[in-house]
Amino acid sequence: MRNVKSFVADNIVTLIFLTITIIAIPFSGLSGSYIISNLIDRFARSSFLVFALILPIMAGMGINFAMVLGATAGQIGLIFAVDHNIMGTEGLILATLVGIPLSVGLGWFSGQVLNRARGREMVTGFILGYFMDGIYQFFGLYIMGWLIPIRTAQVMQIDGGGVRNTLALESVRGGLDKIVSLKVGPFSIPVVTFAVIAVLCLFIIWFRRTKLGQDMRAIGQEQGISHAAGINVDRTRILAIVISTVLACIGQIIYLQNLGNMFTYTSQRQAGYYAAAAILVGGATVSKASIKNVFIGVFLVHALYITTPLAGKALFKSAMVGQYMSDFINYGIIASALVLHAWKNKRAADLARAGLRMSAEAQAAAGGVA
Amino acid sequence: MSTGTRLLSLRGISKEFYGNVVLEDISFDLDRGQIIGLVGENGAGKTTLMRILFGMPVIAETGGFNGTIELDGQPVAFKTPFDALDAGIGMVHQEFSLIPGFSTTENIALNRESLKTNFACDIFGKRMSVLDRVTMRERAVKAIHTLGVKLDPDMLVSEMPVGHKQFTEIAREIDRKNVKLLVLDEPTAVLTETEAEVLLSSMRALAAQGISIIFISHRLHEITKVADKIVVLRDGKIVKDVPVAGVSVQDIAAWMVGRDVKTKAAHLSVCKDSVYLNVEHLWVDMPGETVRDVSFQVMEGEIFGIGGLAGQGKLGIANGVMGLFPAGGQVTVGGQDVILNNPHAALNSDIAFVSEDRRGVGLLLDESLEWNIAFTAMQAKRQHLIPVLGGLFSVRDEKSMKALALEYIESLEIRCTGPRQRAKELSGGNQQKICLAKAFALKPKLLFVSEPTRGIDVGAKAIVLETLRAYNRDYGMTIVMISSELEELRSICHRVAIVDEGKIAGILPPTADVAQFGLLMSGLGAGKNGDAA
Amino acid sequence: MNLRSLVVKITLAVVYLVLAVWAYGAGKGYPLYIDNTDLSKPTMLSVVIDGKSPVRVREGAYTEIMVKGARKHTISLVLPSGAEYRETFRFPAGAQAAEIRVPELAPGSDPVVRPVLPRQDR
Ligand SMILES: Nc1ncnc2c1ncn2[C@@H]1O[C@H](COP(=O)(O)OP(=O)(O)OP(=O)(O)O)[C@@H](O)[C@H]1O
Ligand SMILES: [Mg+2]
Repeated sequence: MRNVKSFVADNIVTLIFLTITIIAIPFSGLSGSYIISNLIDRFARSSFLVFALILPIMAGMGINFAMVLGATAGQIGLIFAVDHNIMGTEGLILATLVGIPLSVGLGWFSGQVLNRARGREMVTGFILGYFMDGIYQFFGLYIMGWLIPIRTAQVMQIDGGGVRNTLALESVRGGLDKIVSLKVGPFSIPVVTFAVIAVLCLFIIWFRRTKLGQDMRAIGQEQGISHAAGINVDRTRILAIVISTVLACIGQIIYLQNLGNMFTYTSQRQAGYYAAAAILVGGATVSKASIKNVFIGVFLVHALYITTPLAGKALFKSAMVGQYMSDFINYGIIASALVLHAWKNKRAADLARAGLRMSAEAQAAAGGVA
Repeated sequence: MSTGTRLLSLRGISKEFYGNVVLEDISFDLDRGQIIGLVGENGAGKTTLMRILFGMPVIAETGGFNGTIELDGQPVAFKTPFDALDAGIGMVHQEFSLIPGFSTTENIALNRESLKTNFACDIFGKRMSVLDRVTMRERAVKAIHTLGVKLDPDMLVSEMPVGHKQFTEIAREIDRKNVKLLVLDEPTAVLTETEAEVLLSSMRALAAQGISIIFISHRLHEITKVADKIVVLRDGKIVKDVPVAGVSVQDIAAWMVGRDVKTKAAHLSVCKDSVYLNVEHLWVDMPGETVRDVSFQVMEGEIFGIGGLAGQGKLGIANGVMGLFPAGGQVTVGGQDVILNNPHAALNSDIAFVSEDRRGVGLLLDESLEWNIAFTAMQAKRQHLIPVLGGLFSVRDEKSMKALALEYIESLEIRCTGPRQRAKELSGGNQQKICLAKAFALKPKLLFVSEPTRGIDVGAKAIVLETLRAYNRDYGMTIVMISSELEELRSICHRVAIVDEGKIAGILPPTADVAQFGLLMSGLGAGKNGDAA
Repeated sequence: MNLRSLVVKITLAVVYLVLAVWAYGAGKGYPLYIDNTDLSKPTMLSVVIDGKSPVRVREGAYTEIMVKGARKHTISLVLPSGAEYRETFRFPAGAQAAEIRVPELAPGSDPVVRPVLPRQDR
């Protein structure tokens, strides 16, 4: 009884959205194979991005909304590749090679900022994203085309001022997905993309076993004690953010090569919301996340994205309602997960204040850090 | 056990906190393999002295200190604890410094993990090495073995009983390669007497290996048992520095306090005939303190003692009733059922609890002393609040909070600069007194207190016990007191129950022979229940 | 160890740069113009370059196809009749764009690839 209760309490977010999906599937009227082939495609496209959030959570910094900076770096890499007309897989490699140093720099910068905003990392990361938007727009709309010449007409705004709002990525589209594409029945599987994701999983598993990974786990639980034990807390936190930002950069490139076009000035922000929503739906909290959470989250969120617009349309007889659903999912999940987290934290603090020691379970329910 | 070579000399150490002098001209020497017993009343300055030795940042932040420290004949001035560690000084602090979600092994090896380098290290540095968990575990097992204790190297700290946490911390210090000097600040305060025995013998073993130890304790018999020499602090000055041979516990107590310590004769209330607390077939799943099947009754207005050896389950009883660990059975208080497994239910039914694990968890260290004392009463009973806007909001009633704090500062002799002092600036023993004051301030009908005199000096011990007695007498408060010190139980309880293997082995009147208690504790007296009062 | 790590780091940096230069060179797209304006023998055809998806070129059209890398490429023409001609050609060194005339791609003759001069030079 107690176990069932705590299981529900621990997985409340996942269970709510699982229920919505199960209800939505029959109403959407979509066939099973349509849903599955869409899921495969979307899974390959977007799970890399979500992995970017694991390490900062492990290091006790919550959801790294500043991963938007990494996504921006990836987009700059892509703009570079497209503008220089570098095609296909080579184009993606070049975009990545350009994006990585940028994202290391940006990650280092946001790590510094977040270290100065201890305890308010998430909201600070959020604002940092907006701040970056400003710089990025200045770069894309003024610096590009003025200091840095734009070489390709398709990249330029019609009036000649800076980078276009919608950029076609035809030349690099599928540069990863289509290297080897395996046909299994009605489904086509982008083998190399999945291989990249598998390598990333192995990296994360390996990373947890390294000294740096262990230090991140330690500071995620008790910064003061870790500091007293000689762990360089500030540097470890910065490294967590740097790795996260670099992963976000690569993740965004993988995402966009699949889509084939990008909204130059908004895609990065969508990536941030989407990744946060996915990992939270997968059952992660802002203080605990695993690979399992990523996989569950990506599947569930996309199942929702695929089915709810149509289900909404069928139920409410309005296409608009369906569209609202996906926005609701993104923002609703983030908001509800954060509220739940605050609630659990408060409960934990109340218990601690009552002068009581919590049992290990209660502590786990409170999300690790009391 | 001393080999004659000097390891450490302190010369003329003084320290003040914002004009409040806490140490004055402290000088003493320590030889290799020697154990010094450092004693003194709560707030005498023992912890502060050790913080100076260890280079803790609080000292520099509060204006530094005067005097010199020599280690191995070289003057040293540690800027950070890391310098002290490098020089071979290990310290176990009065507060725990363990990572709760890590295992024993991970904590022992914290930031000193055994590593296996790999290719990534060449690029990104040695933090990319993978942990060598096998070697780490071997190291942990070895350190635990040196200590001579039973610790599960894979258990999470958050699931450990308090005593195990303490051993884990000590094992961590031993695990260092070059450790020459160990500073143990009240390591036995959280241990039961049996656990303390184990620690004392491992201290002797460490000393025999040439490691010097500075040992701080309020359990004076431990000092006489294990130390080679004894240094007594009173109000920041050294009043005695003598070899331990021939010194008795009474001598030490008198030096510490500067006056005679006498315990007043028991003056107990008469308890009523009605049963107030009824416990039937209680089981509690508390790691290391499992309660299997416990039934007992406590009369209204009674002081009921629960004793027994460590790990037999006496601590589990209170923790189970308070809903802190999974429990089952029937508990009624004043005729009302207590819902188990729910900490709020217990708090709301007019029961207060002073946990044996008071370090850090019970206090809001950054808040003032008065606020800490009044907080729970404010939350639970809405006392010390002034309603505003017809009760829509309420603000703290500063005046009554202050009066409350002053009352306890006086009755428990809390050593502080005033009710506004922050809790973290108090000495360890005085912080514990605040935990007690907090529970007293609730004026509950039923009070569970677990190990009420832990970490409290000999003089103050009597005061705490007297206060318990006074609350019992004056307010008719029913008290269940859990303690590993049998003498303490016998001095104030109406009846004393002894717990053995998770069951009540017997209930005796305090006047019963010590040997009878001994039989019950050793499991031999089972079945021969003494007459319940 | 320190020297070793230095060597590894330098090697890595070199690999990074080499990879970037290679990706830039090998991935660079060049416009190849298919000139099918010779109306003496009008045909519609499908052009396939390096096995990519076919591009349809109408009679009288002048079509641009992007080819990846200034290296050897295969071009094949598929006529409506189903007949297929396959030829290899090399992109002219130093050219930014190139042009192939369809009649010159006729079986038997080597394809003639002409560099196309940048616009401002006209
Ligand atoms: N950070 C601080 N700021 C101000 N005063 C302090 C601070 N730390 C300690 N003190 C004061 O110094 C005095 C000595 O404290 P210390 O902790 O050394 O006592 P102690 O001998 O260890 O006592 P106990 O046996 O209770 O642990 C106390 O009066 C305490 O209030
Ligand atoms: Mg102390």
